[in-house]
Parts: sequence; C-alpha cells; structure tokens
Amino acid sequence: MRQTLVDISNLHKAYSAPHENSALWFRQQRSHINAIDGLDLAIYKGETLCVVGESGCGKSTLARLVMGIEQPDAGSIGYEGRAISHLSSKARQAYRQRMQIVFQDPYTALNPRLTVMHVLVEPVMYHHPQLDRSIAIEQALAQLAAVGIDPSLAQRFPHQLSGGQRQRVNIARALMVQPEFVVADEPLSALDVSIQAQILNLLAQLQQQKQLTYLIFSHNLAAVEHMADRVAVMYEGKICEIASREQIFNDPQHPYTQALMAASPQIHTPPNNNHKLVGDVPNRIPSRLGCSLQDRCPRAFEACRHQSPQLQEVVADHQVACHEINQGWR
Amino acid sequence: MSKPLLTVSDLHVSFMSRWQHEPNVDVLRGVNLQVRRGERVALVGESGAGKSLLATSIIQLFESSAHILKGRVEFERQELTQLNSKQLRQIRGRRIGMIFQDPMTNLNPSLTIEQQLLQCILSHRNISRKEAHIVALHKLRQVHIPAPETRMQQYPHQLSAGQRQRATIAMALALEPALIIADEPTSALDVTMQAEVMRLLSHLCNNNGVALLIISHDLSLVAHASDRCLIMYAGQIVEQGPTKMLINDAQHPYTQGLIKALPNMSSPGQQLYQIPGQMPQLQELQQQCSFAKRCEHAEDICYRQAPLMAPHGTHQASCHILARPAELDPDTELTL
Repeated sequence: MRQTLVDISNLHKAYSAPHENSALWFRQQRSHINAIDGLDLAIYKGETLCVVGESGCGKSTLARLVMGIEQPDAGSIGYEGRAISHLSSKARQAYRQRMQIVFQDPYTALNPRLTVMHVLVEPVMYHHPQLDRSIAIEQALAQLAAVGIDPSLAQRFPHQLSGGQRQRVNIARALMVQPEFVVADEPLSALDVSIQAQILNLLAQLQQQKQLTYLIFSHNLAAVEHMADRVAVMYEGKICEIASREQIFNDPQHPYTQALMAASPQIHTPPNNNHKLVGDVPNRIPSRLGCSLQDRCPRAFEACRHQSPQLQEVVADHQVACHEINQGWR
Repeated sequence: MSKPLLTVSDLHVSFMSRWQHEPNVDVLRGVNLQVRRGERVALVGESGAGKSLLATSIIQLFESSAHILKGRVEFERQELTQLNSKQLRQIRGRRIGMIFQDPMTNLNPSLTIEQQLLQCILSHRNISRKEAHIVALHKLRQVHIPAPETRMQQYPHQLSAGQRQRATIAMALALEPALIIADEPTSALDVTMQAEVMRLLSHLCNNNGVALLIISHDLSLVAHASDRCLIMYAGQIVEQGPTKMLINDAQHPYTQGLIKALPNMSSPGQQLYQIPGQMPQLQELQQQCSFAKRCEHAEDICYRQAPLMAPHGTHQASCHILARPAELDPDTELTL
C-alpha cells in the first residue's frame, strides 16, 4: 500500500500586486493574484512526482510553500499525517531537517563568499550544534564523493566551479542533513544538455541509495518523462491533470497537457501543430469565473465560461479537471 | 549554386590575458562557416564552446579583450574584419540583425517598445517619424503581438516574456536585414512559448528570405527548425551537414554523445548516457584533437595531431578515427 508522505489540500496563496493600469503609485489599487488557487496534491513515499507547467503557473510558489519558506493563506500541508503549514518556527525545526530543497539556479543558490566545504558543513552544524566539526567535515567529504565531485575541490569558491559542479554541490548540500524528502525547483534549466544527463543520473542514483522522495518542478518534458513516477500538470495555480508517467505521456487528456506535449521539441519527430494553444499566458484575472484555460483552449464551450472544473478520475489514478472530459463528451 | 551570403573562413579569435605571464586564450581556433541567402543554419554546442563568441565575432560586437588573430569574415562581398567602427555600424542592425538570449536585458527598461523600435529604424533609415511608426507597427504585427498599438506604448516589464522576445525579433526585423543571428533565442522561455518563437523565426525566414543563424545547446530544438547544422566543440566545428542527415547519421563521437544524452533517447528509468569529463581548458589544446580526452575511441594519433574536416557518410566531420572506419570494431560503434 502506498504511504502518503506529503498531503496538500485546498492550498491557497495570493500575492498583492499593483493594478495593471494604475500609473500613479499613490492612487494604486492593489489587486490580488492567486498564485496557488485551491491546489490538492498527495506525494507518496519513495516516489518521484514531477510537476510541470509554464512559468507563472505557481510552481516556485508551491515549492516555497511546501518547504515552509512562505506561509499559505488557506489550506494545509500535512507531513506524515501532521499539519505542518502553520507550525511555529521552533516546532518546524524538526521537519526542516527531513525535507530539503535544491534551487533552480546553481549560480545564485550558493553564497559566493563561502567555500564548498563551508557550504556543506553549515547545515550540519546548525541542526546538530553539539557535533564535533571534524565529523561534519568528514561527512561533507563523503557527500562530495557521493555526488561525483573530487574532494580536492572542497576549498574552492563557487565561482571556481563549472555549472554542473555547482549543481552537484547544491544537491550535496541538500543531502547533508540526511533528508527523506527533496524538493527540486527546476534543477536542470540552467544547465547544458550534456550536463543535464549527468544530474538526472545522479538524482536517480541518490534516490535508489537513500530511498528519497522527490518533488521535482520542471518544464523540460523529456527529462520528466525520463525520471518521473507520476506527473502533475499545473496551470494557473491549480493541478489540471495528474497521472502516472505512462498514462500522461501515452494518453494525455487535458487540452493543456496535450499542448505542452506537442510543444516539447523532439529530435526525431517534427513538431505537432494540432494541439496549439492560442495566445499567451494570461495575466491573472482575479475571481474570474470558469476554467482558467478558457481563453486559450481551442475546445472551450459554454460551461467553461461559468464554472471552474474539478479534478475527476477518468481511469484509476488518472485525474483530469476539464468539463469536456468530465461530462463525458469526449 | 548562389554565392554564400556570409562566409567565415579560418577564423581565429583570442582573448588577451590581463597578466603578462599568462598566455592568451585562443577561443575560436580556425572556424569555417557559410550561410546562404534564406538558409537556416544551426550552431550547436555546450556552453564554453565559443558559440556566442563566434556570433559576436561576425559583427565584432565582442569585448575589448577579444581580438581577431586571423581569418576572414565576408558578408555581402564585404570583408567585415577590415571595416572601421563607423562602417560596422552600417552593417549591424541594418544588414545583420541580432536576437539575444534574454529579452529583458536586451531591451532598454526605461524606454517604451515604440521608442526603442523607432530609435533603431530612424538611426539607419532616412524617413520621417510617422513613416517609421508605421513600419514599427507593421513589424509588431508580423511577429503576432496582440494589440500592437497598446503594446507599443508600454515598457518592457509590462510585457510577458514571450511578447518581449517577439518584440526583440520585431526589432531585429525592422530594417529588413539579410541575416539574423539568434543567440539562444528561446532559453529564457517556456516550452509552449519556445515552440511559438521557433515557429515564428522559421516562418519569417521562409517568407522574407532572411537567412538565420540559430545558436543553441539543444539539438532537439533545432532539429526541425534548421536546414543545416554545425556542431561546435572547444572553439572548432567538429561536424557539419544537413540537419536531418547529421542527426540520423551522426559521425563524430561528440555529436553521438550529445544525441544519446537526450533524456528521450533512452527508455524511462534507465541510466542516461553521459559524455565523460568536461570541456578542456582551451590553453591546453594545441596539437591534438580537442575531444580526445573525453572520447571513448581515442588513439595515439588523437593526442598528437589535430584532425581535419573531411567528408564522412552523408556529411563532414573532423575525426581521426572516422578516417579509418575499417579498424573500428563494429560492436563499439554507436548506433542510434
């Protein structure tokens, strides 16, 4: 039986932003942008769940909420059955060690003034202040070797490392406190194709060794297809489709998922223009009725303008939020 | 066949070192490149291979520490390396348009889209502001920016990333250049926008007869958006040919590695192929194949002599091992 590790239910997070057409700051009307808008997601122990979506869909906000870097406005995040989203900083401490994050850009995620060794030892000393520093240093050297970095580079500063090495250091840092749950926010997007392969292999290998659970945010569908157990597609702060990798890549249901798949460049098959979306990622219009994809969806109909669709199961473990599918029209 | 629009031959570009005791770094080491009118050429390689430097060398838009050691850059029967800065300004923007990686840093944040487009048009063409406005509007329509009249009055931060990149494409097109150099035009964009921008670039080239030089690190991105493809490694072109043939019949071990490293080339869950090691320090490479250290097939000769570009299979590659295919063990040959 699958065990739920992280359980996110009805999560909301809004940011206030100036109204688009107000020119004067003192007359500005503030409006709210719902970055996360009623999101439900369960992450099972030991799996790799990939979340895909365009920029601006709320991926990074979700990562920050799960990690507790920001507090949700409503809804809850449960970790092993206990709600952690509104814990005090102190009460959260125990969970911080169990979940770690790898940030998107390996260039800005490392403090330029700290050596690799310092970066790795710091989280250990923070969580275990009584520990002897030399033990932490030993652990750091072992961790560097585990992620494929020559321990002789430990005294280097970030600017002396290549992009791939920096991302490895980031991964090593996340693993220093022996977490069981790792969130990676676009871990590949700043890297070259050949380096991406190295990092993908490393993530897979570490997962096997340490029984890690991954929540990976990405817009690189080829990489997602390679590593995911399950895939969730996110659009405008909601999950619009979630299924196993095989289901989602062989039989995408939601028009947005189909458009994403069609847009992803493939080396041997020419791009498919049949599932093109019209228009741009819209600026969020707060409290608008209906499906958030309505303006871009080639198949939108009356119901899409009035009511926002809910996730419903089409086959076992394959949920889609689309009126057309949920009403059995297709 | 018509005379090429752009011919780069035996181009060597080197960065001067800041300190006397350090040698200069030769970043481009004998690059040959041809672009014909209306042709879409892709330049693919890892970061640090010298792709962007090659692009900026063509219009000499590089930093002052770089300089051209030798080689020729011939564009529309003019030798660009011999021009002074005033003559070069006549070429940049007007005959050769440039699209950079990040539209946010490429556009001036303190000017509206219209001001930037007009600035670009008026500094090259002797027409009135009104006429220039019409041209600018027309170009924005060409790149499918919705509501171009409103967008023109807005600042770059008010546009979405995709629209911003389309605005820079409009700007590159504004003076109807013969060649557009696009340096990683989609790496700051999402998958859906990426497909849109690539489609737009291809479409514009076909319709207007503009030649396109696309620089990318992603072979799958240019696979269907270019006619010819050049693979660059450590400052040299290692393989070139028609894109389809190059991808279906890759010859050079580096190209084969690049293709095999793509996640969708192996079945899910399996270990991906990775090219061992990393790009060498450019100072070290004098008389050897630049890929020798990372190559599975490297032999003695690869460390002693730099290989030359020669026809292999359906196109050209520079590799010693390919020159003697009989000795290659059929089992180790990479199949795609």
